[in-house]
Amino acid sequence: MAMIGVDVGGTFTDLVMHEPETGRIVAGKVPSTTGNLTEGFVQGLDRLPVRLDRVRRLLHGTTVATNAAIERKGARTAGIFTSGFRDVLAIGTGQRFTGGLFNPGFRRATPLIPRSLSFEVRERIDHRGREIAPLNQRDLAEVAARLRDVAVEAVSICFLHAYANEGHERAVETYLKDRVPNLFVCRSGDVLPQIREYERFTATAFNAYLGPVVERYLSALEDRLRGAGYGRDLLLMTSTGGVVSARHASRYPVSTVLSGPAGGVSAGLYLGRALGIENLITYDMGGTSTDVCLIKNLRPAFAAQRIVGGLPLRIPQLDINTIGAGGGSIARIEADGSFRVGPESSGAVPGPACYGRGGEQATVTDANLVLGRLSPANPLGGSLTVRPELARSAVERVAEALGLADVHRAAEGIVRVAVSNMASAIREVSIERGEDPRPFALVAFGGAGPMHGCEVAQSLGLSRVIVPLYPGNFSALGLLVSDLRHEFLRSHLTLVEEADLGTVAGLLRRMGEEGRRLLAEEGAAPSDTDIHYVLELRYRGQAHQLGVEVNPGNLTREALAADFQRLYFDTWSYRPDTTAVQIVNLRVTAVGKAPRVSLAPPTPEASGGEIGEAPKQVRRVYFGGDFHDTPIYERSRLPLQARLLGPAIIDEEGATTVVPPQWRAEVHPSGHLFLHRR
Amino acid sequence: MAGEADERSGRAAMAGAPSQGGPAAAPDPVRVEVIHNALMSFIKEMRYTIIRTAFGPSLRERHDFSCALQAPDGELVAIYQDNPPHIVPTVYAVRAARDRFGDDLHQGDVILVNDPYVLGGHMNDVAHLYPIFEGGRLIFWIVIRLHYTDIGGMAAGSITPDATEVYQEGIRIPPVKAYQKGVANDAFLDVFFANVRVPDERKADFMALIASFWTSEKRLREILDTHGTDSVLECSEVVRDRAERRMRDAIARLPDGEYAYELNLDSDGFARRWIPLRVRVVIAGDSMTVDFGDSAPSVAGPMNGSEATAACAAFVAVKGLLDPGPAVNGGSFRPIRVVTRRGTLFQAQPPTPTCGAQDLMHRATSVVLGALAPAVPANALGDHCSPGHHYMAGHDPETGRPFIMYDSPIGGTGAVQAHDGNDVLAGFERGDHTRIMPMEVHETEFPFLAEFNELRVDSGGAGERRGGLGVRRGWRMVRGRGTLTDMAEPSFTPYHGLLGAHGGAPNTTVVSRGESLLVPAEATGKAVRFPIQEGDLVQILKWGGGGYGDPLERDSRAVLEDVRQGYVSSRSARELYGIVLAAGTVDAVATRRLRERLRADRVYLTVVAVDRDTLHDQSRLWLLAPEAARRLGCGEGEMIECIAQGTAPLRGRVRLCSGQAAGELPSGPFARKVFRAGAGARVWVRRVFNPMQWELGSAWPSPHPAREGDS
Repeated sequence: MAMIGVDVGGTFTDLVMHEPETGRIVAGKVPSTTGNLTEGFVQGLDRLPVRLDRVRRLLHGTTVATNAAIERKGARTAGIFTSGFRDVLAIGTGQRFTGGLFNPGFRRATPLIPRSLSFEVRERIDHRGREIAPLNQRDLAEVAARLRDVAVEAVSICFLHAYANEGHERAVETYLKDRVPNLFVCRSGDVLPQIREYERFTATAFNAYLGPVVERYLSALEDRLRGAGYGRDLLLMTSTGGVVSARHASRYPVSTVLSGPAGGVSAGLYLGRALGIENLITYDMGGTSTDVCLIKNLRPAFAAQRIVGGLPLRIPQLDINTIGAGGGSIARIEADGSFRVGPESSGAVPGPACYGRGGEQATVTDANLVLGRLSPANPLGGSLTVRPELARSAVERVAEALGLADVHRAAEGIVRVAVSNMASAIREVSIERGEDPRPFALVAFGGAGPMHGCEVAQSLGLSRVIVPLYPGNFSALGLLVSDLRHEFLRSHLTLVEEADLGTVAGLLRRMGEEGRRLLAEEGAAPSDTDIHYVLELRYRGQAHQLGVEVNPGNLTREALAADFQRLYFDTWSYRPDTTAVQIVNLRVTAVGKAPRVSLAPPTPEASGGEIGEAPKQVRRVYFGGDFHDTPIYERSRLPLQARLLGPAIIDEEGATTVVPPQWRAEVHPSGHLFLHRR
Repeated sequence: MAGEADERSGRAAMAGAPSQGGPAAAPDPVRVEVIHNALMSFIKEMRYTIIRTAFGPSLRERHDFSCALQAPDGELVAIYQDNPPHIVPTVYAVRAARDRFGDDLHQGDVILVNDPYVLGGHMNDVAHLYPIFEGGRLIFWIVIRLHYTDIGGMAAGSITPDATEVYQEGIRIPPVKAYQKGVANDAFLDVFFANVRVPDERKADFMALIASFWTSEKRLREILDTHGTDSVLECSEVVRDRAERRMRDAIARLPDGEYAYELNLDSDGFARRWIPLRVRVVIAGDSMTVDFGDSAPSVAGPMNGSEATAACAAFVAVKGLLDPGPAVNGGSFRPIRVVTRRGTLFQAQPPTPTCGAQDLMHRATSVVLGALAPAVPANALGDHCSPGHHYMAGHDPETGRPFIMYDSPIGGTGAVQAHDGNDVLAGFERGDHTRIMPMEVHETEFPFLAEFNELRVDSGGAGERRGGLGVRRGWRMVRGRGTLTDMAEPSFTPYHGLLGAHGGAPNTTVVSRGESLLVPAEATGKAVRFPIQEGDLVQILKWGGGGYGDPLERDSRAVLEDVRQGYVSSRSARELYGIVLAAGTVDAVATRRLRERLRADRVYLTVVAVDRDTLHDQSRLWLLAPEAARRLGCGEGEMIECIAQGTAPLRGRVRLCSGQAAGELPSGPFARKVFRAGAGARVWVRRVFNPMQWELGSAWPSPHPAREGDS
């Protein structure tokens, strides 16, 4: 029974099929069908040598939610708020979040729910969950009537302190379900049961706004797949790097905002486990953007907040940093003489100048072509022909503007600036988070990652780069190896010394049981199921908390306080002058382990094992201000454990690895390519 | 107007040595970009390192600090999204340190400065300076300005509207070495921490900064090693030269001439009175002079500042208008000369209190924005610059402990030519580091229950583009008693609009007690420890941004949509925008008629040149014939605004003058400069519309304070 991962990106749909029985892996790439994404998905599947009724696990990474959120193409959404608080979404935190310093023309992203669709009902719960004012039934009836009139597709219910008591929100949900048909309903105490009304309401509004879009997409897709013979759950990658059923994703679409880039992190984690390398940075560079994420001790970093379409989203999510640096990033000289590469991109259309589709501005891909690093015959797996002379004249224009006589120096400048931008993106997820990146291995993948991995590593002081097998399909591979995963987070504010630990344990168990139930529905065997319980604690009066793993069957005040104090000291090297420890959140993670995938190295084609015979040609390639005669290798012809010295270029389907002069490369026995600084 | 040139101090306020003209060997733009990237990362990382490693609430929780890399002479080389009012004035701190220590500066020194007569802010904001030497040569300063939650003085938090001397506002630190060559100056530190509240937390904050200096130095040296010291210094010059070039080009595109504006503070902390801020901006070729010399003398209350206050305001306004965007360094300031005069608000002398200097800085930014609006209409915006310190303090009977609850929402931004202002958002002149607190979190800690958190309807200045709305937050005190302190400026006068637009609603805090609505700031302009008690509903009202352009020109569909969304009341649609709504849609015929009538009813007066502007107790009077006043519908002492084509409104009070010709507006030299027009020009005159008046109804305090001493 096969497993298939399908990663649908803006330009390409990447697929990977794996048969555990034979160890066979098949990777494929087809153009994404932007008008009807389902179509490209199914076309891609058709190319794989397997029938869908023989597939036991079909996994999917998608940018449907991301794009709807960023491009503001979600549903017409209403909101129901505690009376007096319908403007919480518009007021926010008063922060701009996306620059704007010294820019009087800054425009804030509009709220997801217009004020005219923001309704109020009288009700009130306090922070302890006590009812201060009952839910006003007349208000509710009026709002329901209005909802029918205004023709909305979705509604989010946002009441104060709903994390502490969901009663009123639930009552509204039930009421609406009975009376307003065809409405996507979600509520804040369910989507993100956390204190801080703006963040909770925003996540809930996002969920409602994305709900109908994601629901439509997934149900159309599932229909097509069922028609094609696939009888099991379609599994969706979420922002945590785990997968969930399409059914669950339709209910919580906000959790799929990072569905696209999360596959790469999952793949990086898998690679680290397989190779016994615990600290890695995933570096996924594609045509328009680069995604980076830090994995430490085989745990990917999580972010408290992410800005999506100009709004802060606080849900459990990987700390993936995305910047506008890709093969299509455009180089330009500003009026004041400063030199920029990206974030503007030539996109898929017209694409880099060398594509000959009307792009005139020099891009990173054009620069690599001029430098001889990118083989004209291997631009993105050979499916495209490129015209080096167009790249050259585009880069010549840059050279002229820079006052450089030499087009190659300009081309190298473009690459250097792009590399420096990507290095900054990695600094943001490492140094800014207190992690020195230098001991980490850089996992370079995506269409353009292997081409720049060594230079990015070098500018950060990293000495090791890994270009995995199937670098152009690595994110899709990541889908295959992803666990089922459900995250539950609930605010429960109480001092440890005053806490009713029985209640806390009960809440934790209930969250765990909900996780078990969901995993069972998704087909996880109980023996493959893990539940992790964490209490997030802080010293009273602080804003930051730390997570302490607990066993709900064995909670004591003394152990909790002691564990927290130890962890706090280990983290901050500081022991504050207080012992008042507060429980803030209960966090439960339910994991259904993925079936094992073992990546057997593809057998190298017979070449006698001699490196000398492997190069298909020698080309003059520009590095560090000069040309070097550089051997060009075919990756599939490099035997295992082959070693070679830079400069060298290694071509393969969907990617090109550049080994600069100061680097050496080795084909690891696992088949992955290891690059080391000499 | 008063003011002799020789009394003034003038210099290119924050610039280093002017750039050498003429082309030098062109630096490699790729290298410059890569190194500049590294320096920007350096500044950003410094910020995160401090947040991560600090314990004290100022740093860890409120992030109320800023970082900069500065040149040996203090010129800013790199800042990130740090708070300009924090970091821009540190140039003065570096200069003061160099004046004080001369050559006695060494690697490992840490110099502290918070002297408000140098830095022009409240003393809580302490500048920490760390020089970097390479080969015996001073090459950079790493600078952190941190707001200490308390710096001593008469009240917890150290910022209090009723201070009368700087000694009541905390411990004043002239440039002093807290570390000498890496060794702590314990004598100073002991005295420092003995003079502040909760010294352990302050000390923890301080030690975190010291540690971050060590880390940052290491990181900076890595950059120097990687790229070469000379290359890094070259880059630091190139980026500043570029900023200078951009600014000079932008200034050169403006017509030469003089631009002027004036606005008023509403209170000095003790009494409601008009305190004028005046600026004259002279553009000559590719440089400009921003002259605050005609502003009011320093006041008895704490609304005083220094040259740094003026310079920061000028920098922020000019940078935003002429070179909008994130590339920020001192090069932009080289073409700008700032002038202040001794004894005025912008050169207050010890021991005048100064803890309101941040408020002054924000309002000074507004006055420069108003002056330059006619020169840069595409980037100009309705007024919104405001600080805001308010808190409720008291005793919570449930916990048995005292509490201080800071709740500092902000307001809307001014409209620009291209679009409406933003609702409740940090303006372009502030950093993005502080947030409005979640009301849910406050409820867990303080004896208050949130009743509402709403956009303030009609608070955005009406105009062709509408100002962003402010906010209205309601807190019900559910137990105990306490006090309310609120320093927000302006508290009575609306923020001005531009080019005929109305202003945005000002700030105030009102208290509903039973049936009555109390306005604590009525007497003094600021609420100072106003007593509150169980059952009171405290309503914090924050500002709306000024509008842009004539409201009668606003697209009727936009007004309809505003009414539909509830941003604008139908009364406002009718009275300010001239839109007649019927059955949820625009009655086009009635609207056209109404707009025609409103236009026809407008009062235009003809400028008559007089030798002197008419001032009383510093503030502007407009001499009107009783007939003109009647047409305006206003009486003696009321506030009117005079709007010349393409300018910001010049406000003043009506002085009825029976000898005055009804169609004339006697205008002194300063007024004519604001109007950018001479005798014979027609100026639109109207009552100042204040949205707060509608909002508060009968509780609205008399719009003009008692004219004490008026003759």
